[in-house]
Amino acid sequence: MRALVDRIAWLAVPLAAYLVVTLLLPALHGATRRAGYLHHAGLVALGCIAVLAIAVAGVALARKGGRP
Amino acid sequence: MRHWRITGALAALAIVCAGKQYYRDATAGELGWLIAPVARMTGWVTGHHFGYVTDVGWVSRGAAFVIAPVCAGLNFALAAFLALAIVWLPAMRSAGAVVARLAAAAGVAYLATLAVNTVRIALAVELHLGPTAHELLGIAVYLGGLCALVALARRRHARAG
Repeated sequence: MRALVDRIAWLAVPLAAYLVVTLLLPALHGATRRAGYLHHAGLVALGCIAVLAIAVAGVALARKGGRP
Repeated sequence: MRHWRITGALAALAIVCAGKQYYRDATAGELGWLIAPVARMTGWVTGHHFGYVTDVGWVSRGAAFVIAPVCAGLNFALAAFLALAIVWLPAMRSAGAVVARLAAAAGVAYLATLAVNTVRIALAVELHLGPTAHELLGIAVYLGGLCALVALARRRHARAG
């Protein structure tokens, strides 16, 4: 489990940068009161989960294939 | 040494906040430096011509598609700039290195935005998706582009030592 986390830890940088720019800064500017913000936040969360799932699957497949 | 990294991180964050503020009020014409090249490249890829319409954006009547300010990709550009600045923080060991790395991050983020946004808009033009699917496509292309950009930057940074 730890090895898996180490392999995909770098994804925290692009995901965090995207979340800061598209959700956090607008929220600090009062965007949470705007219609559509929660819908967009949900889609962004879905995208982040998909990226993590693809990365986990990629690491698992690489291990299964015997690659380091 | 460490204080230069903190300076670099704070400067990157300040630039992102300023960029968001600029984007909030920017018109299509003011965002031409970002949208015009994307409109031209999207035209090459899809075969549809995009022409500038004042206060609207770049319009293709053939594709029934408008590249409006909201499609400019500035959020991707700012996220890419921030991510590259974070990856290159360890190299920020002097004032000159901070300026050089942030300038490089801005240049690379701009070029990456032109490429990724062209892919996103060309797909949107060809697929004719509904609003939610269009939004999801944008998020998927942007997140994929951002991850690829950071992976390349990390590899290059590691190679440079």
